[in-house]
Amino acid sequence: MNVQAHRSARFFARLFGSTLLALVGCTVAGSARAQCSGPNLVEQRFPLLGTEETRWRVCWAAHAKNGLVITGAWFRKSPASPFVRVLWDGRISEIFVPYHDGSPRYYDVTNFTFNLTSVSAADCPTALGGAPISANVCKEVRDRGLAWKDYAQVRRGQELALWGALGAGNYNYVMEWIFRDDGMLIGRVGATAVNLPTKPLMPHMHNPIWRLDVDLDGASGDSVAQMTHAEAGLNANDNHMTVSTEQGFDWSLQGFSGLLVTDASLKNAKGHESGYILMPWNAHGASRHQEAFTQHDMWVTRYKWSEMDAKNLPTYTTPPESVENTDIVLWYKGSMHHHPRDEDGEFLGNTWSGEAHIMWTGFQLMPFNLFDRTPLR
Amino acid sequence: MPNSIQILRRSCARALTTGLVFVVCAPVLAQAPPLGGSSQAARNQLNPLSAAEQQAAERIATGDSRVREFTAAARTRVVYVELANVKPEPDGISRRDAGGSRFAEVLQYRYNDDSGLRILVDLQRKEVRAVERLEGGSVPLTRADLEDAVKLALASPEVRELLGSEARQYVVPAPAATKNPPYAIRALLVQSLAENDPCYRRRCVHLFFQRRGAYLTGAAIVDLTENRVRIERGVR
Repeated sequence: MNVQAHRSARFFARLFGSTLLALVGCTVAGSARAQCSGPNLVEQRFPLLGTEETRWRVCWAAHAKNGLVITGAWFRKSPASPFVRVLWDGRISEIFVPYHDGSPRYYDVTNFTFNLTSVSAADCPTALGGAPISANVCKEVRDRGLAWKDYAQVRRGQELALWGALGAGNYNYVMEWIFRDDGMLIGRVGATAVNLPTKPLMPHMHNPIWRLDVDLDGASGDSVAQMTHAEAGLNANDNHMTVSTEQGFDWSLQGFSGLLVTDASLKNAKGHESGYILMPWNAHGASRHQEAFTQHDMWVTRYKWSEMDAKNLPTYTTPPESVENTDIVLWYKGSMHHHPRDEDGEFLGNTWSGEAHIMWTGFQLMPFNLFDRTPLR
Repeated sequence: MPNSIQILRRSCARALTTGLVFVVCAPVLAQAPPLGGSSQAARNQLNPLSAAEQQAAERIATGDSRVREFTAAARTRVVYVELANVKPEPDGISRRDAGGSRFAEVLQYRYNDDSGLRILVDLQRKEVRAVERLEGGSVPLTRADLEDAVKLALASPEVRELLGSEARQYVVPAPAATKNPPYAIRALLVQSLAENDPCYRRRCVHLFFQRRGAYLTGAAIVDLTENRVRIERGVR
């Protein structure tokens, strides 16, 4: 090596070293501070034992109207990586409950400013990884079954779950947010307690609608693509169609439809755009009622502070604004069809006695090219 | 003594390093908490409002001329005061302004026309940043509403007949009750779409009566706008 080449090598080595140090420094700066504290901050590393691989940082609040609200969620794919913000805010905007005979048509989230119901050791047992983190919110850290299996090689997964139950008259809604070790985020609602006392045998629906303010790597620069699948003879095609304006989308059972959110600046080490895919979790069907906001299963809107109410989605999207490379909000409607059965309860004199066991519906946000390779190996 | 080439090279290295540091750090810092305010303030930014902040937000809201106009000479109620997890942009609230600031959402309800007002309060600037009108159906029921409804219902001879000799034992359970009381009143807000429904454009509450774990199949519907009570018989 000649002198000039040697000097150049030293120059770039010094440059690389300084940058690396700066990267570590600013990563620590970016990761060391949370925007909440005390019981409202939950940090969970995975796996629970051994060398840390991934980590979630979650801020939560019990909201008078919306119950258990996630006010921020960040995921770190490795101890050397920066935290990536996934959610600015996640909440159940509404739970719409229309009865088959046309009335009543309850809006169970809008109805109340009551607190979440109390949780105790009976709800949240320590022996099963539970720990109440307030009088009405339970934190569970638990095994989630197999993460992957390859003959004799196997890895079980773990997850953090935060849940609270909204007392809505005769019903309780369990609002659960699950943060998995593989970066997956699942939101689900479980409907339980007592059928409507005045007509306990009337079939009805419970439609929770989540408002998911997904902010990958900051608020701006997000875009959405609709993912579809179609069979054509022996072949099949998967498409990603950019969503250009605010609108609603129908979930297709045969089309495996989902919404992929990406951020212009967020890429993995392979240079691939990182994102999250919104898709149903445990969907048994997709309700359609007379109300316009129930005519679609997923919606994309442009962020506005005042647009919080799912029932106004048709208004929010008229006229449709651009949702490309901007700050977007996703909405997801789940549906639980409740056809009463003897297991729900019985008439005893002038009363109805019994408990409807819990029914679940929800969504999942699955990482897409967030990791550089298979995580949790 | 370093020669001019060395000085130039070092200057270039510093400039390049600074540039690279900026390029590398910008995305990381963009998602980190804002630098404005103390680190403690930043750590508390998403925590629920304190009682003092709630009182301040309500005071600021009710002092605003738009809110005074809404509440003037009308029966109104503050439904809740909550932390508003608002983002700086877009909406005319600048990114710089939001650094370290906490916002509160104050929700007001007006009975006579079944309407609401959502008020966004900037606690740092001590001013109302935005107001938005809401339909009554978007305004939740408060515990005070429920207590008013229960008072009206229990004063009604029809409801007392429905509840029998145990009428006085029914209570609205405390929000964080750890045990279900033997006689509990649960409620839902009634939303009516039909113009011929007595609850159309009214603040109506469905009251259900739970006796030792079982619900009476009869319920009361209380119209809080007109202070009227009626009974709904159960359907088998």
